[in-house]
Amino acid sequence: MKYDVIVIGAGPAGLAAAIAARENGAQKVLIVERDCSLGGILQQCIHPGFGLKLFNQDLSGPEYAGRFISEMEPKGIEVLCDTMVLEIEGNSLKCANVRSGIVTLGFKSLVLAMGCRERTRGAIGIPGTRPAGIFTAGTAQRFINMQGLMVGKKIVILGSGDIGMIMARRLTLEGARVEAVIEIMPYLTGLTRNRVQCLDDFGIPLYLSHTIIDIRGRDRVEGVTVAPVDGNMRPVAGPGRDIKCDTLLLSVGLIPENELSRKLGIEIDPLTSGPVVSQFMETSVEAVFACGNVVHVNDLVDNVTIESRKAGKYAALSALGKIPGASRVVPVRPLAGVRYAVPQKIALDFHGGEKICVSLRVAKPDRKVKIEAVSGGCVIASLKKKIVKPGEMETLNLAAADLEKITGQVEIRVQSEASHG
Amino acid sequence: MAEEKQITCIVCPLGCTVNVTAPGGVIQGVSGHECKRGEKYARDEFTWPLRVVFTTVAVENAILPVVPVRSNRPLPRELVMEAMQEIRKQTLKAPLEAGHVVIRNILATGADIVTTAPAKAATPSGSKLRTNAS
Repeated sequence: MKYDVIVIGAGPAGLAAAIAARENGAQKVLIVERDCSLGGILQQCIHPGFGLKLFNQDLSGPEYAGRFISEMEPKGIEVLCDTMVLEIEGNSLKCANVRSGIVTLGFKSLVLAMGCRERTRGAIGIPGTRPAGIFTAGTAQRFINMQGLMVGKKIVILGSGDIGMIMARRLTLEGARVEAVIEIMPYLTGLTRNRVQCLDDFGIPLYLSHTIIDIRGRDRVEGVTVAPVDGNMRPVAGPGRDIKCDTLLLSVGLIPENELSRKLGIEIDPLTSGPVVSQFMETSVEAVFACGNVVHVNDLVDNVTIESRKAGKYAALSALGKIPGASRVVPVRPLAGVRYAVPQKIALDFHGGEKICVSLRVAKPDRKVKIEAVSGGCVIASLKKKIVKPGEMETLNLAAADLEKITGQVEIRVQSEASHG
Repeated sequence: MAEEKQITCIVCPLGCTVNVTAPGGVIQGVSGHECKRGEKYARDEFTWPLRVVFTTVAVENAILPVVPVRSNRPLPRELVMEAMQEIRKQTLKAPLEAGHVVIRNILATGADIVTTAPAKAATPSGSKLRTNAS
């Protein structure tokens, strides 16, 4: 049995891609999901704040996912849950299903939507003992919000990312005491609205430019030692400050989950840790597309949906043989002040009249800047911003007409307004 | 009530720190905002801060032991903890659709507590709880 499009992952990226593939002419579309239900991480994100951009509504994660899940059946999109994709071989997937064992599924085009996974204690190397009570924030979130299990009573959270702050509020509402949120950077890494509504509302202290230098406890966490860091993010010499706690949550970043992509030999961007993609969200392997957090870690699900619709659309067109081969492809490169930019390449021959949305993150917080796309020394698109923050993704749009001005490599840069006079 | 309060505006990423001066609880001055939306936000937040409440409720006979719920409109911030106490007393029975009203007009605020996801009934043969790890 051969599908026009198979999507790996039923999170927000996979759901949007599958629907868009169906809407753009793909007849047989399948989503393969390892969990027992659809929605991915949105299932455990029971707080509001989703859909403000796309639906102009403040939805919870399950509600946001529900809008897409309810479209699956009427559109005739097939779903295979409890199924782990083990390997991609040519134009087929080798999967392990809970009931049927090993299953092989054929496709014309493939969408990778596996999302990302959390960085752990090992990834950042916190010294100390190895007691119980150390969780990544997302694991704790799944325990509490889906399995009804509480993780602790006195909590310290390392990292001011959104999941960490949202868990600070959630744990407080469930009766735990959150002693502190510790952030190594000199600025908040999550959204300001989460600091206000998750930390300030409950008087939870936030320590910027601090980190944890020791974890204590034999069987269970008994406390952590916190120290300020210098300009190079190294702990300042001294005894540090002890905080008693029974639980430590880590919200220290996310890594796109690309084991399958790597095995397939897809080119990975070291800046995003995700596949290098074109404006069609096509990877370096023909007919294999990617979208959502597997490509780059997003802060708003609305952006994931927008990007994933594109991946689904072009996966369908590719399956139907409607995308001409590209002969002129130029790279997109981040310059000073830009941490990364997606897509990493633009095909110039065929653009379907669509604008290209370049997603980017700045390297540091700044005020009054211009984000510019430059090609052959000419500015082809620019965007003025009153403020930019590494925690908030920016989008620079290149209109179809702007593409005519591209003469070579496209560079994305952040310019201080002052330097323009 | 505080004479002066600093409020971080959350309307846009600028995150202005807005100073509200209110001797005797009556707003006399608002400063520090870069746009009108910031002033409105600070005035509203000072006089009547509102928050959406969200949590989970225990559910019997379901695949997962809890179902997510939220208030269908925001509540006064100072009632959030009290609302949590009320919601915690509830137990539901699967199957349930999303949007099922768990508590109508909680604490006489006019807001209902509703489920935000369906709770599927556990099949006799199926495992009650399955995690990513299993």
